Amino acid sequence: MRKKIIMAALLASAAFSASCSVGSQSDETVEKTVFAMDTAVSFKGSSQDAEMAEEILYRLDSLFDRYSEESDIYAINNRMSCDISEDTENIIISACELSELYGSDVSIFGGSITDCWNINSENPTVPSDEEIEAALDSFRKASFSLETMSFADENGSIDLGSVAKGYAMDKIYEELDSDSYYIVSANSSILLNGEKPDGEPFIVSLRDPEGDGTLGTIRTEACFLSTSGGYERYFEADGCRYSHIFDLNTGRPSETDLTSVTVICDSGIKSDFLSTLIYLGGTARLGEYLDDETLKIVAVTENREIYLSGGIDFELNEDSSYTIKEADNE
Amino acid sequence: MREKFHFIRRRELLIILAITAAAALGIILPRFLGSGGKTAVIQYGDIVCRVNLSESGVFTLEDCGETVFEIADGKIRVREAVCPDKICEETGYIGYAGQSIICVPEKIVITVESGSDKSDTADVTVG
Repeated sequence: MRKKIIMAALLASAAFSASCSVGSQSDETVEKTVFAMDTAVSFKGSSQDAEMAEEILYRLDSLFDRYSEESDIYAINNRMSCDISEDTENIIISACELSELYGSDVSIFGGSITDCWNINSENPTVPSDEEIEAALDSFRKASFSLETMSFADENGSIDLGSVAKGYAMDKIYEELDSDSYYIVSANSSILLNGEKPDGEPFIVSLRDPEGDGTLGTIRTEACFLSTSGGYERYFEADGCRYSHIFDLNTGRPSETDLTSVTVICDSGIKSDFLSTLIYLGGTARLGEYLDDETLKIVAVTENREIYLSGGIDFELNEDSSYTIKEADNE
Repeated sequence: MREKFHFIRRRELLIILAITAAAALGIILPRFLGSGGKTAVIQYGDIVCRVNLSESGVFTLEDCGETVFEIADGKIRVREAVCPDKICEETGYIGYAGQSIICVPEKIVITVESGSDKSDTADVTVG
């Protein structure tokens, strides 16, 4: 009888807590949004992990923001002498290694081109050919020493836009408890860690690069994931829509036949870097990456076709009017 | 006399039961029906505001600046932004769970919460 009363009390309290927890997760899970890395970064996990992640994001943001006079990158770009933090050294070295390994179409030294287009201003305008040429010249002549963490002369400027979010994910992964369950999302870069409370795989929904809906969903274990596409940020001038991703060969917004590229791998900075690189390379260079067994890729073309790596668990949204392109070589 | 007293007690009991049942239904039904229950959360600093996406209209939020929001056809958008870059305005309507509109200068985040489409099961949305 006593047992029955306790059971009834437990059931009653369970029912009560279920009906009152609308909008919040279980006791331990919190959701938090931090404005850093030029976007809103959301965190879902334990409150202790949330605090640590927030601290890391603010710390890195204050070091990497090239527009903030207090940052390391501002100091380097303005040829000021100061102590460069370990994080700044690490991200620069890692980005250089990735450029060497995979190609310099994505480089952190193209800041002069970002400045020339000035996309963060209130009324972005298309720069003149001379201005673009001057910016390209500054980028091409840039010589940076990893020893002294400085440019050799007045040429060159750092913009960590293509790797900062990915690096932040790596740092969060490094500094938080490796077993704990959490999700960090900076929209284009995501870190999924640990195991979900229900033991199921993580489900990531991919936004339609040309519409409001979703392309489909990816089921995955814990991983780093990044997406690049012209749809996240663009500006309009003279009736044309310009992507925020620049082609460092032409000094102009990128022209590619891909609309979105998602890369899953074991490193945040690598997924961030490669999603941009593969996006810029277009379908012509897609094959070599699809065959890379260390990467899982979803690439979307302007013809609304989706290319997938082998082994990726992707489910198409049937209402999306996209089709999955079957591999030709099989 | 005794009969009447008994009757009143029973009627009171019925009323209490009815109120309890209505309250329970009020809590439980929306959780199971789901239809029309799609909501969006508007975060503005420490202010968190939940809006029902089935209630179309144009509105601003108290303590949330001059930003004008609009809900139509179960979707929400920033109709008029006060920030310089207007990225939030250009994002357009969102209506799928997990989708969000972010205004970095104004520090506003709008996220769609729940609904009845397939993407609702997603843990996170990328892009």
